Amino acid sequence: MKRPDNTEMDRLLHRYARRNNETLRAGREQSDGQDANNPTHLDADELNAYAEGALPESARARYFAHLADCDTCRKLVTDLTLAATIADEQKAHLASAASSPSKSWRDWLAAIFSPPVLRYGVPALALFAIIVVAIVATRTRRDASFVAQRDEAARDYAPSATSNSNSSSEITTTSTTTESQAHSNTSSNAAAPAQQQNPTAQTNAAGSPVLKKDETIVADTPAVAQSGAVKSAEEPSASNSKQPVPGEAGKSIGESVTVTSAAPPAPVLSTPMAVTDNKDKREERKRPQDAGNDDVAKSSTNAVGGATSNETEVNSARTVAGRRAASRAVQNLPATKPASPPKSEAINLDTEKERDTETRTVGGHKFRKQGSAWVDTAYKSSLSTINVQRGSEQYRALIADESGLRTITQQLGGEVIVVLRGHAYRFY
Amino acid sequence: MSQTNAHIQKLVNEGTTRLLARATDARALDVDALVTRVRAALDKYLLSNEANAPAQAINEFMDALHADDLCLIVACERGDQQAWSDLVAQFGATVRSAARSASSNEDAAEDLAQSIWAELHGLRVREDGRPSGKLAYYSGRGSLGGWLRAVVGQLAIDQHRKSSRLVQTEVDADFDRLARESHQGEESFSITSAPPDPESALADKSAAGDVEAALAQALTELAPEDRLLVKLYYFDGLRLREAGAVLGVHEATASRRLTRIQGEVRVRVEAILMKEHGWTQAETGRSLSEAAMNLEGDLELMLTTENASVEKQAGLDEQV
Repeated sequence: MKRPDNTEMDRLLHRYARRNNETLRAGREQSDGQDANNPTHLDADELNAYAEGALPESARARYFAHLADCDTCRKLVTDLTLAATIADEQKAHLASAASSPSKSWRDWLAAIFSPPVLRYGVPALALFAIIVVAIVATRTRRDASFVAQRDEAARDYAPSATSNSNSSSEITTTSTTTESQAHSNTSSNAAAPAQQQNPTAQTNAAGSPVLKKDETIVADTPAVAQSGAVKSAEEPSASNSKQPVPGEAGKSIGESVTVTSAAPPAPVLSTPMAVTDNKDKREERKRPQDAGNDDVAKSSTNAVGGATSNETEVNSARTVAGRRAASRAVQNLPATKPASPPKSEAINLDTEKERDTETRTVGGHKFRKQGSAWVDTAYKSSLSTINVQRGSEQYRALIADESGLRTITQQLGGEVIVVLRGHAYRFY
Repeated sequence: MSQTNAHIQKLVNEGTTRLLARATDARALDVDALVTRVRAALDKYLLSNEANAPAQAINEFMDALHADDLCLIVACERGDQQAWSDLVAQFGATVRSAARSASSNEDAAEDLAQSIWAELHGLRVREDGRPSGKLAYYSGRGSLGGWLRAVVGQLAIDQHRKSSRLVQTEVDADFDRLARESHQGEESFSITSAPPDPESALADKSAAGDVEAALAQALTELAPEDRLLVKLYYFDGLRLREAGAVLGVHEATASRRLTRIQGEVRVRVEAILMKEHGWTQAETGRSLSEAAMNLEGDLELMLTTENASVEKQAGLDEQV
């Protein structure tokens, strides 16, 4: 209760003083005349003695009243007191400076260990050192993680992948004619039924090895990948080109797989599948693949009666295709779609060098070229991926929400994977 | 009394002898030349307040005098040319700096510094027969440098008074007169434009004016030292450290003292208001806080005190 009272009085006194000073200034002439005749003004000696505190206490007290009431004397005393204080401080400073001119290095040492330096300088230095160490540590750790990933990828996949890629590239080149023939046959004879049957048939067949690795949801995707592969092989046949159109393959997959929750996107999945196949399921894969091919053959026979002459050809082509399904996936799909970094690196060894150099930074995101796709460097296969078709309603909504995405999708053509707030968005 | 006086004179003689011995340069002065000075200082600062001061206090007083400074000034007064040039050489810089800080411009400072030496020497004799030279009034109690500063300061004020009287034009005088009149008209309170409701505004004005008048009275009732602190802090706008230095106390002491003074002033103001205007404790408290809260806007003051004025009006009606 005492404090607010005092604050009130403080403010009241301030205002009263201000007002009083204004009045005083206005009527200075009069009061000055009175002051000049005031016999009780302090003389210079009194003013000075008072200001320097050189008076006995009794004499000092005598001047309080006059100083309180006489603005002129009070001002003089104030000026003198402050001047005397400054003079004293200077004198003390000079004395201290004069007393220790020879101890220069000792002073310097003392200055280093002086309280202000210890209190502020040393913590600041320590903080700076910590920051530097942290920056260096994080940078080296990031480099190390890259090395580890690469090493791991190379160790896991190098034997199979390299041999596979070498052999597959040879084989594909040699067998493209037969394949294309086989596919053209299939497409011409059993195009519609095969397209319908393939997904189910191959889900049963090719899906089984994958089941060991992933959840049932994923089981669909290999089939899709396969069907995509098949389809991509079918469509070129119509246009008489051996290589599938990347955009078409991607689109077909995009159409069939809209959202794969809690799993990497379809193109990414297809590659691991293929890799797994390549790596250790080669033997296993043969049988189901053959079985699948049989089914396909059967279904096609069912669908297209009298196409038995093609059956053997298809079968043989299928086995070849089945054997090289992985290689095809590797050759065709990754060319159009991104894959998870370590595995794609292992697979696309030949393009790795090129990819490393191809990075772009758009809208605060750093993208790495993987195949024909741009993949956010922050992308991890564990992230949930949302597929968004360019120009779709979802796409427009996203662009509207995130203007950064617009620039990214505008500047980066083709397939783009952007990591945004813990989600991966795949634009195609 | 005469015995005491003789005793004191003996002490002064001894003290002056010690003083001369203490001085590094006595400037060929003897005890007789100084003894009147020392006695005058003793009378002025000690014996006028404590007529029966003990011998120890007298000796201490004399031993605290600035021996060299006093010798220099006395020698100057006696026409010692060497002392005079020493004084100018030693304190020329001090005088110039004091003149600069006391003057508005460089030319005025130079004039002031030059006129100081003439003032010190005192070529004329005052009407009452005492020497007009300022040198005669240096007691040696404070430092010579400080004393010279004080002399310069006083001279500057004198000169300013003279010059301002000459310079001041009629227009200025008119403005001042108008300002004074307007302040008087407002009972030295509000300086705002006319409020929309003259009745309540008048009541508010008188209430706030009452508070202010009580405040002024309370301040005059304070102890001189406390009043000095209030003047230094509130009126001169010094910081607590500076105000403390002027009072010769530490900043913390000044702060504590100020808090106590605020409480004291409040008690006095409340007492005055209740006694002179018959306000109740609650009314007084409210008026004080209202006056304090409405430093900036008188409109706000008007609105918040409307109730009070209505009550007052009702009271007046009843009386009628």
